[in-house]
Amino acid sequence: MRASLHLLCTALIALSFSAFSLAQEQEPWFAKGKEIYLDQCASCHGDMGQGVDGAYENALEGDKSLSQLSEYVAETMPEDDPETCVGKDSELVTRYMLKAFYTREAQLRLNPPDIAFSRLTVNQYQNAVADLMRPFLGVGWESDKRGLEGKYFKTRTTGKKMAFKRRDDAIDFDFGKGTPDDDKMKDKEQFSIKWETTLVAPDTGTYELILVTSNGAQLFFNGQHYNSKALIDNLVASGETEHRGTVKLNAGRLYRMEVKFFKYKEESASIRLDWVRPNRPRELLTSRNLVTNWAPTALILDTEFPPDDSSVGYARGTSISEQWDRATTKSAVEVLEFVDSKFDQLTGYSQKVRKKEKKDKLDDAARKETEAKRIRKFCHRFVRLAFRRTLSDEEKQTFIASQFAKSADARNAMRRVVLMTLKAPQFLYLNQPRTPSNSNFAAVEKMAMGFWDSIPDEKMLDLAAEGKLSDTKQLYDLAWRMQGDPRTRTKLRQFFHHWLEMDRANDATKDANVYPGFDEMMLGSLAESLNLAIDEIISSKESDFRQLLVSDKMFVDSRIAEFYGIEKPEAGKFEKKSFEPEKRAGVLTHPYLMTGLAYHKNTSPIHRGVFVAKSLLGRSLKPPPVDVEPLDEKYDPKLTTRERVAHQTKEIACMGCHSVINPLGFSFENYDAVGRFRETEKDREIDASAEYETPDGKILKLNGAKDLANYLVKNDDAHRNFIEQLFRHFAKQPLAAYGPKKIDELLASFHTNGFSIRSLLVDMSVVVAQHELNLANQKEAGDE
Amino acid sequence: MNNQPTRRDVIKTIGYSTAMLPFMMPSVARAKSAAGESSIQRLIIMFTPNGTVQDEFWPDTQGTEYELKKILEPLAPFKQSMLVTHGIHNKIRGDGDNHMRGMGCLLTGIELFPGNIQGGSHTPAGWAKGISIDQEIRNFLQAQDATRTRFGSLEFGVAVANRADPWTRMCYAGANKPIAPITNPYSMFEKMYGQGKNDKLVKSVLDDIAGELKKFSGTLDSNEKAMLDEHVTYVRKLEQDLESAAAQMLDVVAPDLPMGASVSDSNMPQITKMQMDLLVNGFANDMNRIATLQFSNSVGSTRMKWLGFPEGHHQMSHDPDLKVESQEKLTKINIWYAQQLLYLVKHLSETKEPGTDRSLLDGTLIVWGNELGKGNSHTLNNIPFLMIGNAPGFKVGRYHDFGGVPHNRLLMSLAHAFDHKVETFGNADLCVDGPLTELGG
Repeated sequence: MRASLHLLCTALIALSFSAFSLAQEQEPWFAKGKEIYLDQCASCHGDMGQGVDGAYENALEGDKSLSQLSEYVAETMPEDDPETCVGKDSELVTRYMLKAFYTREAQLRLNPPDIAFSRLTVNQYQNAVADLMRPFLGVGWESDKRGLEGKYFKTRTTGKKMAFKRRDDAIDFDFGKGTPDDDKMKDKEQFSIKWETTLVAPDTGTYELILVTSNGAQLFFNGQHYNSKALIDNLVASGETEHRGTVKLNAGRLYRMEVKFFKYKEESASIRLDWVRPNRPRELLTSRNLVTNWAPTALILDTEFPPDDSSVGYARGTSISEQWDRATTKSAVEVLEFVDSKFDQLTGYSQKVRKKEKKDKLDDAARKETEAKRIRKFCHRFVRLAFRRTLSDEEKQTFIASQFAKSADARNAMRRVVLMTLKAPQFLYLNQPRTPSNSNFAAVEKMAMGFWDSIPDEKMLDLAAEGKLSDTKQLYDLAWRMQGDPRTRTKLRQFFHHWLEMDRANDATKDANVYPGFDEMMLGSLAESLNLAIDEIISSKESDFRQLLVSDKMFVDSRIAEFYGIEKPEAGKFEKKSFEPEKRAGVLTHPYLMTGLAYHKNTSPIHRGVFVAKSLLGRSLKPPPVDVEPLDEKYDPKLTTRERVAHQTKEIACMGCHSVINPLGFSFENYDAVGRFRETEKDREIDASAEYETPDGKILKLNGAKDLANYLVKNDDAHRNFIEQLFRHFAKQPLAAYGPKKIDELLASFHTNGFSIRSLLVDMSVVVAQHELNLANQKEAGDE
Repeated sequence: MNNQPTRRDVIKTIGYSTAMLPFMMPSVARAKSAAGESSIQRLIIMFTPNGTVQDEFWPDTQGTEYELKKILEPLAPFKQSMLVTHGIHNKIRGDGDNHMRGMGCLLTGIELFPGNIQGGSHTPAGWAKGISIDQEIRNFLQAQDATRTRFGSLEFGVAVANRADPWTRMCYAGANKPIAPITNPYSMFEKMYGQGKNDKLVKSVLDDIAGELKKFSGTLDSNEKAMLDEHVTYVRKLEQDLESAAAQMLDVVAPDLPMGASVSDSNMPQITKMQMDLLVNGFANDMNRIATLQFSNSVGSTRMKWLGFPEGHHQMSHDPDLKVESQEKLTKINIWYAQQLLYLVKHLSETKEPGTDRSLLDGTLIVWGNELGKGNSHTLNNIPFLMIGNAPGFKVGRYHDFGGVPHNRLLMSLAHAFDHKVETFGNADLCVDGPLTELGG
C-alpha cells in the first residue's frame, strides 16, 4: 500500500520535471552536446555523469556557471588531450551537461529525494521521554525572576530562626569572621543559609557543579532532598575546599537545585558555586542561567546513545544498530526507575486523595482497588502520549489489558506497560501506518518533532482526534501556539549553533605572543556573547533574519570590552554595546566566528570562504583533489596571508572551487585570528577587495565583509539556502521531498513576512503537516 | 536454575579464556588458599545502634558454662560457637560526643578530627583520623595473590539514614575518607552480578516487543522492512544475552531476590534478609573476604512497627533503667537483631565452602558491635562485642570479662587472625599491651 503511494508521489514529481525538460531536449544544441559528451567524456564520467569506477569516480554535479564550467572544460578536458574539446564544442557539451545532470534541478529530476523512513533521533528520544512526564508532574518555565532565593538563619540549622531572606545573583560570598548581616545575626559563632533556585540548562551535555567552601555545605539536585543522597555532600567539613558533582542535562530543560550551607565555631565562612558547562571554562554560576521559580523533578537519562548519522549535514534517525537498541532498553529501564520513584505523583495519589481515603475509611482491599484504577488511568494516558495517537483496540489489548492480565499486582502491570511502550515501534519510529483517520495524528506528530524534537502534548492529540487540523485556520493557530513554546527556542538555538559551526571555536588556542590575553576565559565570554546575540534575534517579535547579518552591536562583558576596546558594561554582566559600526556585519564578523575560522596565529581565508560558500550560500564544493598542506608562513615571510593563499591555489585544478572560496574568504582579511579589525598585515595595507562570480554567471565586486553581508541580505540564493538548512534541521528531511515548488513558496512567504524566522518555522510546520494530510487524502482517493 | 553450569564445570569443558577473567579471580585465590597450609579466613562486622540492655545481654557466669539471657537466647543453637565479651572499652576521647566517637572510632580506634558537626553534647567534630580495621585487613588481603578477591570487601547497610556524617559511617578507607554502605540490595546485586534488578522484567516483555516489531514491519515496504527486521534480530540477541547473564559462571548461583521490594525503613525485615542472602552468596563465590553489615546508624531512630513499636529506637534508649516498659521494648529490639544474626549464622553454617566439606561458618568470624555500652548513660565502656564463628586466636564457646581493656587491642587481634601482624592500630597509646591474647582463652 505504502509502496504504491510512494511511487505515485515520485511519479508526480518526475512528471512535472520531465515536461519541463522535454522541450529542451528537442533543441538541436542538446543533441549535439550529448553527442560530444558520449564521444569524449562518458568513458570516464559515465553516460549520465554518475562517474566510473577506476576512472573518475565522483558524480558530475555542482553549481558552477556555464562560463566557469565551459572554460574549465576547454582548458583541461579530456585529460589526455585538452585540445580536443575547445571553443564552441566545450560550450555545447557544457550546456548539455548542465541540463542533463549537472545542476541541482537536474539532480532533483534524476534522483527525486524521498522522505526517509526514520526512528526518533537521540535528541528526540530524550526529549520525548522527558515530556512523557509533563501531564503528570507539571511544567516549570523560565521566568523573569532570575537568581537564587536565599534564606538566612541565625543558627547552624536551616529551617528555624530565619533572620531574613533575599534574592542573590550568585553564590559567591566571603563572610570572613562575621555573618552575612551582623545586625540581624548576632551570634558570630554560627549561622546557616539555604538557597533555592532552578538551573536552566543552555546545552545538552555533561555539567560539573563545584562548591568551593571549607565549611559544611550540601547541594541537592533535581528533586533530591534532605532525606536522600545529595549530589554534593560536604556536611562534614574535612579540610577539602572543592567539592564536585557531575550531571547530564538536556538543553532548555529546568533543574531544581538547593544549596545548604552552615558555619559552626569555625574561624571563617565562605562559599562559592562554580560550574563547567559543556565546552566552556569553569566560571561562577550566575543568574544568567538561574531562575527562582519552581520546576518539577526532571527525568535525567544517564544512558549513552550512539550518535545519530549526521553525514548529510543534520542528525537523522535513518539507521539502527545493536548499540542503539541496547541504549533504548537501558534508558527504558531508567524511565521505569523514575516512574517507580514518582509513583504517587504519576498516578495522582495526592494528599487530597489520601485524606479522602481516610475519611471514607477504605480498607486495604478497597484501597488496592482504587489504586488499580488510578494505575490503569495513568497507563492509558501514558501509552497514548507515547504513541502520539489514539490506540487501536488491538493495541489496547496488547499494551494494557494483557499486561494487567499477566501480573496480579497492578503496580507491576504498570511497570510492564511502561517498559513495553518505550520499546514499541509505535514509540520509536516516526513513519507509522497511515490511514485517513490517522492523518491528523501524523500531522501533529511531525509538527511537534519539527518545533521541539519531541512528542505532541495531550491537547494537540485531542485536536487531532477531532480532525481539527484539516481546517487550515486551526492548523495555523496550532502552529503559532507551538512556535511560542520555549522548546522551539531551544531547537532554534541548536540550529544556529550548528549552522554557524560554533563548535569550531570550542578549543581554539591562539598564539600568546601575538594575542596576549586571549585565553579560554575570553573564548567562553565570546561564545556567550554570540549566543546572546542569536537569542535576542530569535526571541524578538520580528525575529528578522537580516539582523543576523547587519547588526552593528555586540553583547560584551568587561573581559571582551577590555580586549576589543569597547565601552565597559557593569561588572559581571553582559550588555549590548555599539561595536565598530562602520566595520561590523552582525554575527558574520563576530569575533567568536572569526576566531574559529582562523589558525593559531594567522587568519584563514580558505576556512572563512568555505564557510560562507557552503553554510551561507549553499554552494556545492568538492573536496580538494589532492591533500594539500597549507603553505607555512616561512615559505616566504614577505607574503601576506592573502598572497600566500592566492599563490597556493592558482593552479587550474584548484581554481574550480577556489574561484568561489577565495574571493569570499578574502573579504574577511580585515579581521585577524581573534576577530579584531586590522588595517594592515606585515605593514602592508589589507586588501579585502574581491570579485565573486555567482552561479548565474554575474560578477560581483565586493570590498570587505560588510559588502558581502549586504549581498547576503538581498540575495535569493542565500535566503533559499537558509530556508533549506533550517528546514532540514526542523524536519530531518530534505525540503525537496515535500515537492519541488515548496522552496519557492517558503521563499515568497519569507519575503512577505519581513524575513521573520518564526513565521518561517510556522510555514514549515504547515508544509510537513499538510503533507501528511494530503497523503491520507490521496490514499483515500486511491482506495476508492 | 539448578541445571545451570557452575564456573568449574565450564572451565573443565572449555578451559580458561580471557573473557572469563573477572569471574576467574576468586577461584584462583581459593585454589591457592586451599593448596597452602591455611584455609580461607573471613570476617563480618555487624553493627546495631543505641547500646544494649545490659542485664539482658551479659551472662552471670564466666567460662564455658555460661547461660544465655533474653537477648542472646535466639542464638542458643550456636552457643558453642559464641564468644560473649565484657570489659572491652572504647577509650578514644577528643572531639565529638559519645554517639559520634562510638561510631567513628569503633572500627578505626582513633580520634575524630576537630570539625563543624555538633552532637548532643561535647565539642563539634569531623570524620575519623584513620582507616578502619575492616579496610586495613582488606588491603592486606588484596595485596597478596593468595588472598586477593574481586572486591576484597563489601559494605552492606540496612535502613542507614541517607546522610553522610560521623553518625552514619563506621568504615573508613583512610583519614577523612568514610565509606558509604550500600543500603539497596538491588544496587548490591547489580554490583555483585552485573545485572540490573529489572533484567527479569525486561526479558519478560521482549517476546511481545519482537511480535510488535514484526506486525509493524508488515505495514512497510521492502527497504523499510529491512530496518525493522534488523531491529528484531537485536531484540532477540538481547533476549539471549539476558539469558546467559542470568546463567553467568558462578560457583553458587546468585540469590533470587524478590521483584519490586520497597527499599524503605519500614521494610527492614525483608531488606535484611535480602542483604544477608547476598552477603553469604558473595562469600560462597569468594568475591570478598571481608563484609560489614550496618543496621541503621549511631543514634538510629528506626521505628520497628513490625514489633509493634511506633516510637523510634534512639528516643526509647534514653529512658531510665527504671522505666520497665521501655527496657522491655529495647530488649525486644535487641532480640530482633539477634534473630537476624541467627539467620545469617545459620545460613553460613548451612552453606558449604565450594569444593570442600567445610561450612562457610568454619572459616568466618562475625563480630557484633555497637556504638555505646548502654543507651541512657551513653557510656563507651563495655561495648557489647559478641563474636560467633571461627578465627585463629579466638576461643569460642564461652563468656569472658576482659576487665576494661581498650578496644584497639581487639581490633589488633582481628588483624592478627588474618596473619596481619600489626604492632599498633589506631591510637598507638592504647595498643601498648598488644593484641588481646585472652581472646584465645
